[in-house]
Amino acid sequence: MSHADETVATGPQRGAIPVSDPEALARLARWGGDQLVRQMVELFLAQAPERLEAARAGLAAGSADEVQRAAHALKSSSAQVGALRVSALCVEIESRGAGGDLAGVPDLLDALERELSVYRAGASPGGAS
Amino acid sequence: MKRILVIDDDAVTRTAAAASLSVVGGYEVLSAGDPEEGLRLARAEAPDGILLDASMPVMDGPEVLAALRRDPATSHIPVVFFTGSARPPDAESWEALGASGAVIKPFDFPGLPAQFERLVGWSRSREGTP
Repeated sequence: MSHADETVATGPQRGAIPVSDPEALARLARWGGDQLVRQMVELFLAQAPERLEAARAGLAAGSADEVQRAAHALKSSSAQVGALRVSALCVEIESRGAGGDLAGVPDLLDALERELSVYRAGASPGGAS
Repeated sequence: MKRILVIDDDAVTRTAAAASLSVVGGYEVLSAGDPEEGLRLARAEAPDGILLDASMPVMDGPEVLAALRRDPATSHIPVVFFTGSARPPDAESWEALGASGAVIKPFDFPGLPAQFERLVGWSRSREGTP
């Protein structure tokens, strides 16, 4: 990852969070090599849009539980690959879902989609290792 | 060599945990992406320990653990929950379910094997660093 100091206008608090945590991937690389890092990032990037769609489907159905589940699932995997802003958004969306408050969730999901794109751009080519 | 079964529907977490336990811990690792496959592997392969996602669709971790405990072939296998809960787990509540404890996700990649060993009471020395 090469843009830990970038900020994106996803909100005053999230803007202070780095897009990614290079150390998270460096730890993986130290033990598992670049191949493991690539595999993890590819798995994450393949899976994340499905989770996002699941959250959007839950929102469309008015199901706070579905929104919460999708955000919960993405929260851990994003943190594992150092996608800090994605993970922070998932924490917020999961919390809204748990509280049954879906009012701000559409904007948060839009921000999540943007942050996924930013992370994806930083992860290729060669940015993930 | 001890064998650990990882049951987690999240491919990223499952892959990372399997890599940590095998590369860092030196364990043989079996992986399952859903509860049914996890129960099948637990019965067929009788692993020495299980790392079990607490939150999965259809059948969650506590339900899988209850199924493991009901089966004489798997009732003795130590189980550690894998949880993404924002709150620290209440050790007593995990133990009341029959688990040895819980590991919080995201987990520390190089530290997972030692954490698992500590929770299940396995003692073993580890050599070397990357």
